[in-house]
Amino acid sequence: MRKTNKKVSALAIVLGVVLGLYVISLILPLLWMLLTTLKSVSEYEFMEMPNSDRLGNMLWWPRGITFNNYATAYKYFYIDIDVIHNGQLATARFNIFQQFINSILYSLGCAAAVTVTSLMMGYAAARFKYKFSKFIYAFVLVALSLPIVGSMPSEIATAQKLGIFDTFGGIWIMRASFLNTYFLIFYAQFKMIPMDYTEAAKIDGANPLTIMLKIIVPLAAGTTSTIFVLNFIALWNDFQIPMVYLPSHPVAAYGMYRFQNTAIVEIAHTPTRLAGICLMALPIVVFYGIFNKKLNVNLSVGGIKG
Amino acid sequence: MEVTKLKRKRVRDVGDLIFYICLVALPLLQVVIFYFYVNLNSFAMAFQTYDQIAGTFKWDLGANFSRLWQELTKSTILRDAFLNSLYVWVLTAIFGRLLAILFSYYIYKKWIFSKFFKFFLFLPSVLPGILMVIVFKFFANEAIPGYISELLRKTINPLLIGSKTLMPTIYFYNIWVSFGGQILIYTGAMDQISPDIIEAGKVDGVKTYQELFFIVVPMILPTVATFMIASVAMLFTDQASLYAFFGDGVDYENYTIGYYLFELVNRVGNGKSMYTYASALGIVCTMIAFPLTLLVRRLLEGKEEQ
Amino acid sequence: MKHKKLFTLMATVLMTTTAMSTLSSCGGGTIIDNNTEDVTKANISVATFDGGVGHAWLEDAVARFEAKYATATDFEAGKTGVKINIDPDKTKYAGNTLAESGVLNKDIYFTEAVDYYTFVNNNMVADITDVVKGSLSAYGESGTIEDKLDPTTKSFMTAKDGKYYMIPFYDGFYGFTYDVDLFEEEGFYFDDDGDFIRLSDFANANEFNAAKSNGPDGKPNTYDDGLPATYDQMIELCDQIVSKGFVPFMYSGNYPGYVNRSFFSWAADYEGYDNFSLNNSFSGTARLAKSITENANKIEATIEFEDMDISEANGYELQRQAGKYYALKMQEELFGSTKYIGGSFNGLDYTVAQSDFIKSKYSTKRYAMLAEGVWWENEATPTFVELENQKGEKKSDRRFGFLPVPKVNEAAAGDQTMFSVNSSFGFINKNCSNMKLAKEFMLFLHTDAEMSKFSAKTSIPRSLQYEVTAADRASATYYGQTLIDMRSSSKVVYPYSAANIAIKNQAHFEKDNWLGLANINGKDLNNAFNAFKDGKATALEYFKGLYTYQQGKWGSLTK
Repeated sequence: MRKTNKKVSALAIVLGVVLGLYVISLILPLLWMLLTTLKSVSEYEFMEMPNSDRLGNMLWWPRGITFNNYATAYKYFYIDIDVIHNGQLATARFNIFQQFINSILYSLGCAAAVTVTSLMMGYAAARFKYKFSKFIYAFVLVALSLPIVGSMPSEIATAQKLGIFDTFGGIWIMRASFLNTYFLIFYAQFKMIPMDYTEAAKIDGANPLTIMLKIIVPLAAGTTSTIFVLNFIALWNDFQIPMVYLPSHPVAAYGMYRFQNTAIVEIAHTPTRLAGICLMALPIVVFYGIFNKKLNVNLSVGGIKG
Repeated sequence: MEVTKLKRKRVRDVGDLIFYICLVALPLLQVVIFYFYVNLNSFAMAFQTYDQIAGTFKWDLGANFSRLWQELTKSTILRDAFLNSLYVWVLTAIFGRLLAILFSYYIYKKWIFSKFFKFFLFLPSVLPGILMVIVFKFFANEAIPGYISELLRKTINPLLIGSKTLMPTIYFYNIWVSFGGQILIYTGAMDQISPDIIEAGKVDGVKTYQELFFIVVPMILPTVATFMIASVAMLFTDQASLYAFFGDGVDYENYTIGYYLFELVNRVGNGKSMYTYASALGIVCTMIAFPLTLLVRRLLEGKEEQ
Repeated sequence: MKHKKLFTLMATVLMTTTAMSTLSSCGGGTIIDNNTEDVTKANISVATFDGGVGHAWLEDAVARFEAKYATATDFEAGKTGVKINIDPDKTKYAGNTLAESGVLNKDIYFTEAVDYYTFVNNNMVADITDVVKGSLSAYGESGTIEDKLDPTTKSFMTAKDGKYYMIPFYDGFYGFTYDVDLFEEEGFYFDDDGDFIRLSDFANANEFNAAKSNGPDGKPNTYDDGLPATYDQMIELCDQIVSKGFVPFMYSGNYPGYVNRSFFSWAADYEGYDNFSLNNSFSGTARLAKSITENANKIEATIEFEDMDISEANGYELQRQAGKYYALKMQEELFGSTKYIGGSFNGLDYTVAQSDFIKSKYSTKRYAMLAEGVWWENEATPTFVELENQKGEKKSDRRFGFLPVPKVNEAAAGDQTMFSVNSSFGFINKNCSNMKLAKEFMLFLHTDAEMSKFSAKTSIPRSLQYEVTAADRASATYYGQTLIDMRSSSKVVYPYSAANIAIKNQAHFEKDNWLGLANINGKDLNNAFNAFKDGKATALEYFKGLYTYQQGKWGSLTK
């Protein structure tokens, strides 16, 4: 028998231990959260604990398991919006599923808008040696480093003037900006693809659009889908922008924020509030579970596999 | 013969230019409206003063900057905030990134449990920020002191309280939740490294750490560089999650510039009175961050890139 | 290939959801109320921040208003009666976002944590001068709302153009709430000799009450009898609480600003209304500490005073007001170590601190007092509801009291001066759908009768002068009654200023900054709680630091 020369490297052991500790540090709080959502409010808030001078089983395994918190959370996870219905002011209620639809519209649309815009500009700046390309790159760096103060009023006023305030199309347009890190990633990636590819295609008579869409962009498909997914997830969890810019289209993240802050007696307890967050996070965690493998992308800004 | 070739090239050049213009036109229009036009007043504010009662801005080119100079020379808040921003940057952008690279390498090598680790490293990016903050805060302030008190009969102060543990805990949090996107992208880049290169190294008998530092890291350096450049550009916009944890109640000595800017603008008692000052501070920060970004870019990507 | 699939999938989902959303007439929601407005009546909508004061008060007031005007026909042509639609929300109606967005879609707003002039200058609020100066005779009162307003607040609100755009909402006092039941059972009240007495040592409550000391106001048979009259008694009380096995204070470690603010009223009370109001007016003669020598055996220090004319040129001298020293000194004594807070600092959010304070009656570590804003009892309603479910004890069964501020010595006995950390207002949307009705409703809400009911329902005082009726007082919780009693015998200093320097430097004079920023050994500090806890400064050093900080900045403020 040949002894394998694959010794376990010391680095692997050290890193494995660190990663193990990291995962424990992550699992413990998340497990605590899940267990808390399964405790009754009375157990969490009032159970007498032998070794603690505080009331409530906040730290230990649940003595009894209940799904009531989820039921309560679902029941109260709604947002009422004023709408004009048949010419009259009416109240429309968005339950969690209706909020999810808005979340999908907001996060998918904005993610697509950001990704496509950043890709286009990254491509333009990296593949065409005009002076303007250099300017674009420098401009993005300046914009990234410049904190903008108090621009919300004029942003809303402009959107209203253009008639796109409080519409999904409007927020997609407003989010379709390339002043972000993703532009830099696309730029770096497109820069690294040798110009020979373009030149060769040109000699074959391909037009610039064909070169971009058929030859270069496919090489960056991995980057594109990664950036899209990263954006999608971040936007799914964003409540501040939709709260202000989409007042009649409540997204689930805003529903969750509201749920955390409401004074309604039935939900103003930690187990119920956490159950509300879990409900809202469930779709995105499932999405992640499904696409986890797909996220293993062929991203490289360092060169192309031979 | 030569002439037609030249003509064809010229036609191609014009075609390229038209294509280029088409590519950048819409994104630029978006930026013109939703960045320049919308932020025009915000930029101007740096060179104005605001009359809180009249609600009017008056031009005064130097007022905010001379005040800034005063703050810098006579108070400690700006100095501390600059230093803290740098400190957060070193810990997250250098130390945190180093960890992310090491973890990515572990996953890239497919060492034991690597899929499992990958899932958890990305998880904090999937879950809503509010949830991570609530859960982390509970653990740092209630659970850890609680477990220690109940199990060891020892009393300790909560971690997010008090000058000894507060900021280290905040730094830990910022690194703790930061791996997701990076791991995704670094492992993607590592997967692109030609197996031949790795094999060649093995034949030469390189050790694991040598493979990591002399083969893998240099190959993914352009990817890492992009993130480094972005992180330098955003050096002064990072709040380090301070607002999420403490609201307005952060001690001066723990301010970062990002948090300071946020507080100046958003603290209710301030009204709009600090907008002009904050805008000036933003511009000064950009004047520091932008050249720094170019410098880092030059260092990381080499001269020919400029 | 898999990327193509992903994109196709996403595009399909996006198109499907867009279609689903646009096809439904109500933007994707379900109509639950076809007719939010009652079209037979005149309608307005009222948004209210659903925080500490809740919205039950508004529901009650609306019911009374709708009943009063059930047959009114002059609010809108062809309509009889009125309907007020309420929207309570805790995310939308407070803070800067509301003012900054420039978007108001309700007719009347009751808000907190807002900046008056941001709304006014954003052209969002209606001029309600006619309401504020209008006659209340229709409601049987002889005066106007303006008569009930505090003078500094008035001058602040009218500084722009002499007009009123908002009406102050409720008082934001911070301070200490004590557990009356515990105090009675365990004997945490003082008698005239300064000894502790408890209820069970007396034949009945009347005898017990008669035996209590006069308290800080120095008067018998008032709300503060038996409570610590001096700073030294306050410390004596805390020692007594500890010796009996209880913990004097619960507070929110995550929001140490609540503790800092709890001592603002202590500074105000020592100085008195006139002296402390100089912090807003910057005009008048101030009594200032020239030197302070601390005494080892008592809190009262040996202070050399001087009188000084204060103007905007030398306003920083006000940081030598001795009241500010005593407030810091007492904060250091009570919260500078873990002696009176149970052996360790906590890291609790304020709602958890409230809840732990209430529940501690049933745990092995009971707290005697809570540092909080006046609205805490209302805010803790969920815990009280759960308490009733678990222990059968109703909110009305629990007796709490708002602790009056002790004095420097017995000779200083007298009524309270309180400091309100205010920024809550009510106003009418400039684009109100029915201005006449909205203004009438505002008038109605600011009658003495309605404000009295507000106090009874929420326990919290409105920021105007009015009497709470005996009947309303009786319907309040025990805690509310102590607050009503205290407020009716106190003067209140509000944090508003129409002084030029304060208007020009609003952020600088923001209450937490003005009363909290110090420069000690060249370093700026903004949190006295942490400074004492971490040993960065003593109370006397912090006090001197207040002066150093302001003196150093003053030149740039007066430019």
